Amino acid sequence: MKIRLFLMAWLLGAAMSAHAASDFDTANEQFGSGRYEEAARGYHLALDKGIQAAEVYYNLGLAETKAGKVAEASLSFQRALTLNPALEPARRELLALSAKFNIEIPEATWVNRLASAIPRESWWIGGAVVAWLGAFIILGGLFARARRGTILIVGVIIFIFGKAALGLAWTSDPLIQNQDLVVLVADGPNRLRSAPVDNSETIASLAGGSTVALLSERGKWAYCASLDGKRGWVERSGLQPVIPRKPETPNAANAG
Amino acid sequence: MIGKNRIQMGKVLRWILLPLLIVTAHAVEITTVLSESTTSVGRPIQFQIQIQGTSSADVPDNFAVDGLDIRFENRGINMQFDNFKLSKAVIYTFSVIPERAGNFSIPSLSVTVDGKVYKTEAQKFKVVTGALPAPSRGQSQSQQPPPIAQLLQQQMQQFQQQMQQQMQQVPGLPQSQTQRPSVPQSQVPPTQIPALDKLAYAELIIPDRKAFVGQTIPVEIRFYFDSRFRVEIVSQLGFGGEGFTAEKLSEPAEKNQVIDGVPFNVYTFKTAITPIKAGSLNIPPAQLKCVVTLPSNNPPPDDFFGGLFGQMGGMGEQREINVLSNSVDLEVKNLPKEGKPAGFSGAIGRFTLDAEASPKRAASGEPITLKLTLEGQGNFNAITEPALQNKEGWRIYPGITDFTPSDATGFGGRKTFESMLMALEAKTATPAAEFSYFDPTAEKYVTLNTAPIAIEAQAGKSPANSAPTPSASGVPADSVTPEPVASASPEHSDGASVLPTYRTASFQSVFHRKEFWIANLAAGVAFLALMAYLISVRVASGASARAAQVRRQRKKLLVEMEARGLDALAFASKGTESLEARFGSVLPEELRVAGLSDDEIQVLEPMITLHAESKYGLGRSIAELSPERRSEILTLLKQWEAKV
Repeated sequence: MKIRLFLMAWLLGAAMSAHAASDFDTANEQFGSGRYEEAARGYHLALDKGIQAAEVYYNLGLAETKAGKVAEASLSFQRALTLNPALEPARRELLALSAKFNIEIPEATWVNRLASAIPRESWWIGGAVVAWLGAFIILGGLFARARRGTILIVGVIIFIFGKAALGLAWTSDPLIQNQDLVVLVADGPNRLRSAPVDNSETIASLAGGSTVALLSERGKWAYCASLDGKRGWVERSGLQPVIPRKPETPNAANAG
Repeated sequence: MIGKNRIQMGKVLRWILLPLLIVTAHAVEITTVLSESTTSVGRPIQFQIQIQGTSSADVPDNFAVDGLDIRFENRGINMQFDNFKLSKAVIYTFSVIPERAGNFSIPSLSVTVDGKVYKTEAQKFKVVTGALPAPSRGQSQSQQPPPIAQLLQQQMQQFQQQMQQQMQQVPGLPQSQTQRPSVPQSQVPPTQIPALDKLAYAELIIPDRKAFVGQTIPVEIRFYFDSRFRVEIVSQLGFGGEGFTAEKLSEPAEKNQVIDGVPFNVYTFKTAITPIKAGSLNIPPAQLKCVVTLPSNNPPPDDFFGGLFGQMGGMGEQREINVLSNSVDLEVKNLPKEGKPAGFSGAIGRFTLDAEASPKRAASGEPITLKLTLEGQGNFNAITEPALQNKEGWRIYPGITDFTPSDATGFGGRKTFESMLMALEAKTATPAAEFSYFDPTAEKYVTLNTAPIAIEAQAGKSPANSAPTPSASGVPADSVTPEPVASASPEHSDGASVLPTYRTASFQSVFHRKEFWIANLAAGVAFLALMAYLISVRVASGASARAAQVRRQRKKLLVEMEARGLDALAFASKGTESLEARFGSVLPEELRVAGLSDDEIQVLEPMITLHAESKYGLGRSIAELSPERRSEILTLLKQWEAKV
């Protein structure tokens, strides 16, 4: 019975995946024929069906750029780069959008560039493996009857390397560092206000598609910090997180 | 001789009178004064209630007399010898306008001072119809001292001047406030006091009567105060109105100016206004409240004390006046729609634009700073950054804006805009800048352009062109590239194509995946297990080592016991030591507990007894150990050793 259920679930997943892949291909064809709005909808369909891929977000960003949805395109390119920091076309498109529309986007630091040279999973897994290896060597050195000092030194060095790799993974992983980043996608000027009130003073006016850090939320307002450090309130309805939030379960929604 | 006596007398008076003045300063005395005893219908006269010894009192400000229109005018305070706080008086002035002819009387009024009620004296006067008869000589001099008194007063003035000079020469004596150089004291006789609007007045100066909505207009407000009178400003400068905004007022500039032979202190405030709607705009007058100290309107009494007070400079009447400037009417127009440039952002004035770039050579990824300087006069607050032309192929970072005013109001100045430009493709010139403004004098729009500045900028790294190229500084471009920047222009998405395949990924970091933590937990458990095993091995190896050592010791003792010629005591000693090493004790009960049979204990007992006697019997041994028994003991020990 269990085997049957497993097989049914597997077959269902495979069918949905195939369907999503079909949506992706269809959207690519629509893009090629200049139907950018339809292409964007197709990429959204593929994403909704579970294809979380940097390439899909990149294609979606291109379609949105063509369709004139600059803010949404900025969000899509940033999501693509979050999934795959080494996806150079997405970075190029995002930089172009930023320059053309004065969109504020996070600067790539040397840590990001170094980390993007190797897949982030490798940093996490490799760092953990090396750190544990170092720990085991240290343990062996503690009980060794000969060359105890040498073994301990080697173990400590390997352990430190492993921990350094884990630290680098933490600081460079966009999935960790971009957790609080949101993109302004509201129509019209995105104003940072001094208070969570509609007619309060405007601290800064940011281009649609600009990225800000979400600090806290209060009702329909979110307290954000722009990349140049200005802090103010923005309506939450005009924000989209760079890392998509999981859809709330009905129970969670009711509880909230 | 007479002068000497006067000086001496002045010194005596100074030390006698001043304490008296201090003591009598607080005595309340109320007097009422009419400026004239006869007037005509419609000709106003002044009625004053003078209250000595206080600076505040409760005086009815609205009392009626049939046939008279009585209105409260102002309240003044007289202070004498401020530093000593010797005397103070408050004067309430009313204007009285007769409405008909006849004899009138202003009745006694109730005045409350510090909770105590005083009654004023009634004042009578006469009102005639038509013009007043020309005053007779006697009448005209009715306010003047009689000739004898006048002579005495002149003598007293001379005497007081000498006395005052002596007082100023006494060190340590605080000078009265009226003697401070920064506070000019009126030297004007009361009869020559100018009208208040001549004594203090103001001007609102706006250079032009035509303006445009949004235009910044410099405004100057000048206050003139007759420097012969002491003036204290008691309010903030009031300036503002509807239909325009005003900048913050500058700190006043002070200068001295003689106008028509009268010295004036002139205070000049500067600000700038900006009309916000079209049409006729009235700029209301600026106003400033101040208190001016005038010589007393009442002639000093013709006695010694009146002369003394009058000459010592403390006597004077303080009048609060509201100095108002003129108002100005402006004709405000909207900016013309004709000829408005596309890039016009609301700048109104007259400006010049300059641009400079540095460095002139930039390696790949190295930014160039483009500095645009806008200088002139106008509404700098509304000026935004000049637009850059032909910026394709550049990445432009948000700039820094700085404004340096050249005057107190910010109407003139220099505004700089610094932007960081990074070449996305090889460039030989910076973008040109364009700035449009409206010239209100010429009433036309003006567009300023800067020429592109020649530079050499290397392109950023491109996937299609990733081979290192020598930069201007000779360093490979890749080695100085701060980030992988594409060489495509901002419009390059026109040529970008979608990616045909994809590889699924997750927005959940490895750090947040449970598999990662399960693997780490497993590694941790293995680590702890290995550590426990190693510790147990270490402990176990220690115990077995100790057991082997004991075993080796027993074997050694056994070999020594088998040696020929070994005496009985030595045999017993070694045998007992061997038993203790094996069983931990040689007491029969303990050996029995350890599992030895009674027969075995009986075999061993002579050896144990002999050892004990040799050890505790002071050399006297009773027990004997035959060779046979020694042989039995050896056999028994060997059997046990063989079992181990």
